[in-house]
Amino acid sequence: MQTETETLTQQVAALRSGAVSSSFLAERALDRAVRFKSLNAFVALEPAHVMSQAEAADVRRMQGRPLSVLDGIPIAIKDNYLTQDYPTTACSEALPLEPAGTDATMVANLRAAGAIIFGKTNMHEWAYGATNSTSRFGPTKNPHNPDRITGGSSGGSGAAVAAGIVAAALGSDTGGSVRIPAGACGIYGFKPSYGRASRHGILPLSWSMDAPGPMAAALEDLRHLLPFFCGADIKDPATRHAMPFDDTVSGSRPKLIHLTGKGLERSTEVDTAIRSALSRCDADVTVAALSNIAGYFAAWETILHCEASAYHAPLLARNAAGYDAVTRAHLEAGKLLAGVDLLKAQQIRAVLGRRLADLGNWDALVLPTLPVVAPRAGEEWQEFGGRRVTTQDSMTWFCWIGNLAGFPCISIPIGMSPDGLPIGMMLMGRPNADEQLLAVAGWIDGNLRAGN
Amino acid sequence: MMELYPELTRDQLARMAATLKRIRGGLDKFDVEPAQEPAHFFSPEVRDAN
Repeated sequence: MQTETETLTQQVAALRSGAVSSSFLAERALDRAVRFKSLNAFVALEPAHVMSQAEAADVRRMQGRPLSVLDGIPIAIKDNYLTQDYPTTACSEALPLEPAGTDATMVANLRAAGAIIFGKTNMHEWAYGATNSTSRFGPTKNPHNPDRITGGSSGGSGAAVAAGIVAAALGSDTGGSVRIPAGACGIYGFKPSYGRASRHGILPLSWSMDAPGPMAAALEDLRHLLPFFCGADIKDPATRHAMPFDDTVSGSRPKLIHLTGKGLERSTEVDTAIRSALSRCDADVTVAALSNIAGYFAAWETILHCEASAYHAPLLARNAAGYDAVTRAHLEAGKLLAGVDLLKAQQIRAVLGRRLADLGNWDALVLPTLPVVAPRAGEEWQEFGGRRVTTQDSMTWFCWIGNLAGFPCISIPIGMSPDGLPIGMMLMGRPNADEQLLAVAGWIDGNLRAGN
Repeated sequence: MMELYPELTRDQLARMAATLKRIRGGLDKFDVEPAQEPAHFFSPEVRDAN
């Protein structure tokens, strides 16, 4: 019987049993990267470097001293994580000012664990957009249908996992950039609570909303990855009180609140899929309206543009022509917002946290990951629920709420549309209850997969 | 705005205007208590005094 090695969890078991070697996994991943080159998932990939890491991992394992469960497993890295062995460009012509030759904390953690730093993945320029259509390397294509976008900004990571090139990849998430491509590509994506996982060495978009996050082929893969994400890092002051990941938390029948209301509309096919999944997952489900969405969204946009404009100011002054036209417009708009606008936004942000807590006794809040299935490449507008919005806004339609609140979030695949495109469910947990959120997601995923 | 940004295109200026209009509209319509503490915290550290 052939050993299954498509998910990271299967790869962990197969390496441990000796059924496969790291070199086998690395070579297969490289072959698949060539086969799926048209997806444009990777922007930097050195086969010889990948194989030398794999061979070193095989030697360690043969000597009985693997560095961790991840030793010898290929993991792809979004191109906004600093890496000592690959250039970091954020997929922009306006090259970052950060020094080369260092690793982001997440990359350093994975490297120290023996994971193969497989290559850098395509992304929406500077993570400042959610379609992955804007990149100096060109757009990424959705493995389920190359005429469709992947969503972004971690679209290369999403495509690489969904195509089976690698079982796991790193993304970053400021308004849904892990969850959006996870939803559009039919994989799993986790955004930790703000301050739970180090942002050090990830080129910032918005300091107070950025989060690193794993993307993977199976939910249990996240359980292997999150211990390398969560915990304090002296290089990231936001993590000073962060606890390590507790892998002993298990799930019980969860209390879910399905959020609805003006501003939370979705297409009929997505709404039908969400309601069907909620009816089949053996959870205690209630429905609640969240009002004032336009105000909360304005607060998210204000903080996003102000923080991005502040970070980019030196590079924009030096090389404005290096930015895409739309990215440049965002950055210039951020400069025109006033201090009082930013403080009003921060006041509204505090209200959101309280409002979500006041919804009562819940384990997770539920929304679709996206209001529509993956849009066609080149489509400027999406229509759903009586709305006509830009494709960009449709991608972040729900996800930004988790970043503004700082809550942990996960996207899980719950089914396919009649067109064969994935539909994702997003779950938001309570702040720093990342383990409980993963347990809730495991409960839902397990019941849906069991056909309950 | 064109005078302020002669190097930007009409499309860029239109995007900026639309973004600012949307943001200000959303912020203005959201009533918060004047004393509502903004959601940011300053934690003094020894290194801040260096």
